[in-house]
Amino acid sequence: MKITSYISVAFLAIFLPAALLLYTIVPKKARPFAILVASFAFFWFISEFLILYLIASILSIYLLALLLERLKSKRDSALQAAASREEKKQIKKQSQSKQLAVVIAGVVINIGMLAVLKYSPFLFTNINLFFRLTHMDAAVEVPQFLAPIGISFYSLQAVSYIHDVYKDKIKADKNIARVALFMSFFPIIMEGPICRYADTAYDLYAGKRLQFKNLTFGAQRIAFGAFKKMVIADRLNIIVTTIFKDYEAFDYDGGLIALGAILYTLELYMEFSGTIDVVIGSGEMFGVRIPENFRQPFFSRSISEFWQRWHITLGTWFRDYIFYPVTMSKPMKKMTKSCRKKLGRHYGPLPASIIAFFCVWLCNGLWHGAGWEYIFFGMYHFALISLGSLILPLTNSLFEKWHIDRNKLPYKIFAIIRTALLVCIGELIFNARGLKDALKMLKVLFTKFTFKSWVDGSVLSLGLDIHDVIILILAVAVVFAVGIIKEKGKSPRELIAQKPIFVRWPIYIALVVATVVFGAYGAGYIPIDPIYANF
Amino acid sequence: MDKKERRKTVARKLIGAAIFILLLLLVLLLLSHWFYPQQEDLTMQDVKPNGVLAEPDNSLDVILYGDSEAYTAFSPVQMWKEQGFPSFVCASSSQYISLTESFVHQSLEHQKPKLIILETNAFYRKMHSDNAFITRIENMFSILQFHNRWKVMSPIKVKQTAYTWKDDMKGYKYAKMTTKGRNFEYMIPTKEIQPIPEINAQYVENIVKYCNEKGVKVLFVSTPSYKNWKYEKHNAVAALAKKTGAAYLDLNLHADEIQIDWQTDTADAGDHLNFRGTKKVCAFLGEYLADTYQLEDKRNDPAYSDWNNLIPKYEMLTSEDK
Repeated sequence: MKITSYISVAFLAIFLPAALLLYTIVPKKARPFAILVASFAFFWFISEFLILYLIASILSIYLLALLLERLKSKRDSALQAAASREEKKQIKKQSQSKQLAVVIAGVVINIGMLAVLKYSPFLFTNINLFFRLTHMDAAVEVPQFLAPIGISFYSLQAVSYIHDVYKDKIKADKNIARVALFMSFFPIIMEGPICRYADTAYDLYAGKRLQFKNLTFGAQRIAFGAFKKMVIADRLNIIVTTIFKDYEAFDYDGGLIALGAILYTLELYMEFSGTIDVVIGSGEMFGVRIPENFRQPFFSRSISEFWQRWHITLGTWFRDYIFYPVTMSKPMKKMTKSCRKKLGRHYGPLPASIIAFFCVWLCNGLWHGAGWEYIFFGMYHFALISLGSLILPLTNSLFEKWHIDRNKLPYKIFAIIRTALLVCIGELIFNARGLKDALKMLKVLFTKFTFKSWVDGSVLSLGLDIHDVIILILAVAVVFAVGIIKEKGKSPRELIAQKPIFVRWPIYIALVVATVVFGAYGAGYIPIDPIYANF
Repeated sequence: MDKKERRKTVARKLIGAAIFILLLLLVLLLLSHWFYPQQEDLTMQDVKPNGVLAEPDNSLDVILYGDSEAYTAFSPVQMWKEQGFPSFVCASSSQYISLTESFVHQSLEHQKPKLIILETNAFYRKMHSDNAFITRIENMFSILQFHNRWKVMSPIKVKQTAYTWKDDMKGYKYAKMTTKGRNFEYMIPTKEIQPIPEINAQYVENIVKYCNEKGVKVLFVSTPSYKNWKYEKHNAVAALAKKTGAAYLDLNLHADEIQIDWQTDTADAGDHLNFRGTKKVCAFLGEYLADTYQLEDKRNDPAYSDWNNLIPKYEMLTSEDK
């Protein structure tokens, strides 16, 4: 069996029910092992022998965390025995540097595997490019590696585990099965979310009995995720692929490029958040709470807010393991202190923050892919966020002068649309076939913009007919309505569950039927491969 | 809650779930019945290749299938202008060979061409193979196969839809842009073979078999494209042609006669042809087809006056490349 996506017959109709069945029939104590077996089997189905990389990661963090724990207990015993304050200080310092070496080893092993498998071809290609540009008669062979699917996700989990043990947020786990389960739990292994040990590991290992409510709520969430992906994302893929592939050959105007950027952003959201719905729903069925990865991102009023609502677990990972360590490092603290004196309360901390933001967005860009367009994508967001911070005092004073209330609805709507458009430009860069293409498309977007192609019927010659357009509008309206309910802090599933049976059952059935009938699958449609699984 | 009561609750929930699942399956079965084509039905997804359905029955001599390589390289109106045989390009972006098969089936219901042409780039587009389980489920719930008929069904009863949208370019997609490529020898003779995915080869064999049964000849054509084609692929397609009994014409091996200049004749540096390239390919291919398959020149046939009337519009649309 080959599983290529969570939203596939192979996963939803065969693998997931089989895993649930296995989980139910084994004794309570064996349940965690049942999920572990299922998870390793799943990884085998998606990556075959590349599972060895995952096993290497698991072993590395398990052993290094235990080593950290041993260093800590050794330090504690030595501290108890130490007589003077100076001696204690010395013991702490020595232990600290040893622990740090262990953490660095963990990072080097796990990020090193990721870097070699994913980034070395990019690096070596650019070395060759450098040789060519500088007319040096030299070339290095560009290596090609097969990277396991999901490596970008589980590697970050591995680093977070080591770091959290180092920072005493969690204890090193002596149970290797629990560590393995945390790293390999099959619903999260392909596309995240990036989980933390403290949040999921113990839930996973608890082997809770399957609950009726968890099963039904999980199934509902899975159905909604499949609706988003199959009805909207897969349908949008037709037109998006045409625009991004053919824009040059067929001389599309800026209007169509803009449409491509907007529709790609929508497609990416529907595909990724739909898959995450399936992931969270699958976890819910086992009674495992998987962290949310999206919180209505298109209601954001600024780019910073957008990234707190979009791919949340990646954002918090970068915040906790890159942004904070950089800003809280000794040189940065020192710089902030002196800048605060010279530049004041707002601008004082900015240099350190901007340096940290640069690191975050460089890594964010690179995490998404080994290519200059991804680095450019990261730098684009870095520029937007930094600029936002730099001009904040100016905008504040202008708003005050012009009596613009940021909490009033018209401004909120303006801010939401502005943010969404900026995000769409970023996604245009992201989806272009390389940096050169991205720049060409941006040039067309800004120099040849016209709405002509939106109204003269050109849009309907790009693979979608009017029926598709109507279905897209209705389906997006449904997702939007669900988003508004969630934005108000209510749970759509709970609301429906409170309705009488003759109301809620037709809703559930309508959701499945809408996906089956209006899903863009079968002859003529090409399902999108899981976009984030390739990162 | 005592044990007995708990069991009762669990049983009640399980019965409820079972009823719900049965109800859902029943709805899907009813929909399957409703969506199943009751009469000859024309349900194609792509707008441009669907234009073939608006052509008068049995009016085409050649139908070409494939992906973007096909709709940028073959221009039926161009070939009509030069050779006078009516043809149509039933191609769509990134066309899978499985979709080609359904296009072939559906278009041959209405046309009796002398020849169909399969552009070979689509032979290599990897498909997700359907396993036996999925096929069985699809057979049980035919809604999964025919779900897209919602676009053409009347809300009350199943009804055949008349396709009236005509494509004046006859499936050709005009590519104006030029992105310089480079002229080099990319067809380096070798005995190596780049295998066609097994499932794709099977689809091609089925298409050829179906056409043979209908008395329609099949020709595989590889369009010039140094980004997509190489000798290893040529060898594999030649072997498949031999196996199926189809003819094969690799235009990449006729570079000298066609005189493709990759500096000027490609829209995107060696991937697709632009209009300059299309004209060269059509001149060569049109003559080859007319001679090899003895296609009649119908330019003076009053039944085809529509085709002659298309020429001014076609020339206007492509005028920038004159």
